[in-house]
Amino acid sequence: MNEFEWRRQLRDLRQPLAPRRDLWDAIDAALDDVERTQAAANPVWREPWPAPRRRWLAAALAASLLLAGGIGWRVLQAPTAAPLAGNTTSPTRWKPSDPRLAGAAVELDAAQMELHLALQQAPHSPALQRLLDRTEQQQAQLRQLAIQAG
Amino acid sequence: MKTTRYLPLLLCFCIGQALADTPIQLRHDATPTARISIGNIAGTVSVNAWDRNEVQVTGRLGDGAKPLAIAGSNGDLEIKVEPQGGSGWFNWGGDSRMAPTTLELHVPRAASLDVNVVSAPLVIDGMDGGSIQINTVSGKARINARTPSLKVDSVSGNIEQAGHAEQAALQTVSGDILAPALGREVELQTISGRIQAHGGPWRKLTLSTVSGDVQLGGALASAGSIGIDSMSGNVQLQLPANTSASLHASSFSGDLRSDFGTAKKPEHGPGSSLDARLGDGDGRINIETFSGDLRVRRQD
Repeated sequence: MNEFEWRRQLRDLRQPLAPRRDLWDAIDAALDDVERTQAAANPVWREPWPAPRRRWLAAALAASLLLAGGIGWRVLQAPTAAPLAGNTTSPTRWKPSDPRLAGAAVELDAAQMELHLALQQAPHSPALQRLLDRTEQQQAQLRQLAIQAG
Repeated sequence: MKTTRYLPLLLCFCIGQALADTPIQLRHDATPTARISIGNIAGTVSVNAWDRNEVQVTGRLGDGAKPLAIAGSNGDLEIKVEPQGGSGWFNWGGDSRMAPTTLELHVPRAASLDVNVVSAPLVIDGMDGGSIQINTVSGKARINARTPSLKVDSVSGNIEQAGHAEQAALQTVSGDILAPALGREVELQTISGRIQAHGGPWRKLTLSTVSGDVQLGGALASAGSIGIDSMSGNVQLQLPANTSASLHASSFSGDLRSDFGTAKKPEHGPGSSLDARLGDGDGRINIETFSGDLRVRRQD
């Protein structure tokens, strides 16, 4: 096995992994325990939200605000970034109805987007420009196939 | 006991299948260098060379297909599986109304082939002398032939080549390309498929990959050229020790290592480049990657 094989296998490992069991029950139970302990310690006055939950809520709120802010900023930046990206969000994007072509269409779209991003970093690369031209040619061929598929 | 109970049902199923598929038994005279066009949407296609001046087609025609015939003259023949009521080769996307067809062909060894398949795997074996052109969508194509010209366009189907292809143009979107016997002029292209190719001596070889890895090995013809473009695909090129060429290689952010010359890295920032003269420097080798790693190895 050569170095590229190892790298390929390493890349294959880089997948999202779902836990084997639902972790939320244990987390929920632990939070309830804290809640019960606090209630026992202070039976007269009880806060509407226990401290750990407040912290979670605050963190979630802050994260949501950050995310919303980020999306808003990207939307505002999009018109000025588009010329640099060189038509990354091509208006000609399409999805063939034939499932045998749909995957390839997504792949070609993604390749074009990655090439545009790479060209932003290396705008004078003739290799990237050639790759982009060839990718566009392949996309045009796929469109012809999609027409034949009906 | 249970088997006996289900036996009539199984029998009905088998009879139904036998009635659904029609056996194919066709033959037609052909010139030794006839041009033969073959088309099938789903099922399988197998083309075997023989030393007779005739074309024979056997197999099973899928339910819903038009009756199959060999059309054309002895020098130009056509065998195409089409759905009943369909408009020729178009609308193959609606192939659900036609069951898969198995085509087994015997053709003159030096015939030229033009094959169009969609999801049908294709095997070509023993051809010698004629050109071969293949279009496939998701079907794998395996070609064992000695041909002056091989052209394969595939979307997701893998391409496997053996024998010898003097000129080869192999292209996929996501299918892998395995081509160990490439001749003097070669064009390889993929988006994310993996390329493993050998052969030469190459007069001209161009290779492009967006994210697929490449392993390429072979000799360069006198004053020949090799051009490789890669975005994030890793590239390994193996050259004989006696190669005569000027080598230019560069990577924007990938790792570059070479047995010929020493890669230069800029003082600040990623990337590296290499310029080396191999032997008399007759030919040209130009390799560029964006983020893919690059290895140029000397073949002992």
